[in-house]
Amino acid sequence: MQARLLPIESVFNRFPRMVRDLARQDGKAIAFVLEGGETGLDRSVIDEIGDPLLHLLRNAVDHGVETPAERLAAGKPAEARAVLSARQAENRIIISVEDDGRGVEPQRMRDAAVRKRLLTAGAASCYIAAVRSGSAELGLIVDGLIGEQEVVIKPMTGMVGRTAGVAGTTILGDRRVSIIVDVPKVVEWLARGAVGGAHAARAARCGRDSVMSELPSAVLPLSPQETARLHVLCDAAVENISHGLTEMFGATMRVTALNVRSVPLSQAGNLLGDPELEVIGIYLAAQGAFSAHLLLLLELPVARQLCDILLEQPPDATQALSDLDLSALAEMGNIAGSFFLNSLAENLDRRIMVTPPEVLHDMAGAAIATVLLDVAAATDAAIVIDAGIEHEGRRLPAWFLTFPQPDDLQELLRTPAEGAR
Amino acid sequence: MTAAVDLVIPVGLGELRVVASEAAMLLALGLGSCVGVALWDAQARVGGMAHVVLPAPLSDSDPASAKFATAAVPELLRQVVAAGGQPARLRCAIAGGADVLSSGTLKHTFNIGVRNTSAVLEELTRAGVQPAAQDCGGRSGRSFRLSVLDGRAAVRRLDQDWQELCP
Repeated sequence: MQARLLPIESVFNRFPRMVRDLARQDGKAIAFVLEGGETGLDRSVIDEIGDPLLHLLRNAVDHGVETPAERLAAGKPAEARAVLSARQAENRIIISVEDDGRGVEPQRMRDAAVRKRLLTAGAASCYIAAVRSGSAELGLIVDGLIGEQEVVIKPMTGMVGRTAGVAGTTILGDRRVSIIVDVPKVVEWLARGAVGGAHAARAARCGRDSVMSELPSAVLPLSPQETARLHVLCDAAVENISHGLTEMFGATMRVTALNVRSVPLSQAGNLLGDPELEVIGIYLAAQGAFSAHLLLLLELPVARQLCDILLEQPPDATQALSDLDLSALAEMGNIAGSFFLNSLAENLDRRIMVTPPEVLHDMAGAAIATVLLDVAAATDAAIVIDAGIEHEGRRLPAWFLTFPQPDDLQELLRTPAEGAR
Repeated sequence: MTAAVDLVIPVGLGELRVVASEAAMLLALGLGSCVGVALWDAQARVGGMAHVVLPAPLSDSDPASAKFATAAVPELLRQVVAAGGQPARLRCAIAGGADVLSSGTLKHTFNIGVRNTSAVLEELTRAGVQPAAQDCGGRSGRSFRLSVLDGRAAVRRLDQDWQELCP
């Protein structure tokens, strides 16, 4: 290990001249100080770290440090001071760039962000925390920023154990309890179109002139008790699917992340955020004594990934979807959907007929609207049960949408809970 | 070609929207078996669009809902005229009505695209409006838009660009 360590000086030494030249160009006076040049750093890091440091220093000289006149006016010495330092702290090397310039003025940053249309004027008056989940990065508007610290997350239990969007709690240094936001869940909600921003993001990504529109709201015409009951029923049904899928395909595949909500008919096409999103859909309907429509929607790349798994191909083997691929997807949807629908109907002690699976390749809105027709005839809001798919612990973004017929849903909700039977 | 559009108005399932603004564009995204009905008076800069879901109400549904062709078409005409459209100058285009599901296993989805289209056409005839253009049927979904400024209606399918409907 020691053999690969080099003093960080070998990178640092290129900067004094650069800082001097930049300062002269900008008409600024800067005393540039290097500290901790002897700190040892792995050769591979030394190779990589030059450019980021160059950017930080350039930023400090160009934007952080004021001209001598501005400094004098602000009551500071005419000559600015910039320090580039390295030091070891346990098993980390801390490299810092510091200057005594005006720093980053939040208001100027916000103004610039509004000018560049990255933020609306309303959002600019708030604090924004940047979060990331998988490849998605987004900003959450928060009341304030306190700091950063590593915490141990404790799961929530009992009555509040299943609070959506909350990952758990932690006890802070001052013994106060803090609730921790489940960032992946929030990102998922956004991706599913629960909030407007994701739609804009998706539209931007697709490079289309799609519009921002109001997205499905989470207003539920079900009482909290009914919602809870539906959750229990669906959880049991989802357990069944997971058994079915694992048995059939040998892979540990589960349906997860169950969510129950009500969506106004007019917004149903937006359930995935973008009604024009190209999807593969697998459609099943339960007929007879319990009527519901079920649609499994997959974006094309996810459909291909699933085909790799189902047909035991190496990753990325599936490209254009063949008939074999489509029938594999149909079969998976058939199993998952039949297990789910049968499990719901069993609560009513009823037998149902499930139609053969039908595969669609179309715009998401077109698929959803067609499947919703039955429900749409009677009501202006659809109860949507949606869930994702997980394979060996990895989430595959999918939408497993169920639209129960309103009357049958009401009846289902009146069934007694397990213990009462 | 593309006019300056400041106001894009989405028309969701079962909705009916009428605008009297030249900067507006009405847009129904991802029409499957649903039928988009656009009606406009280019001179008066008034336009409207309905997103029809089903041909006619069943016994237990609200017959006045714009999700049904039987209610949406007369209501669209009424609102466009109320907003300043001259009946004699009105132009109409319709799009959608695809049969997205191939099997006719279910009664309510059987031929629903075709049934929606004919119900809309029937209502238009009854209202004395002849569609200048239509892009209906087929197997796949499309989006439909109307630019009120120039009275242009256009359709877009998956992976395709907008195609103008009216000459």
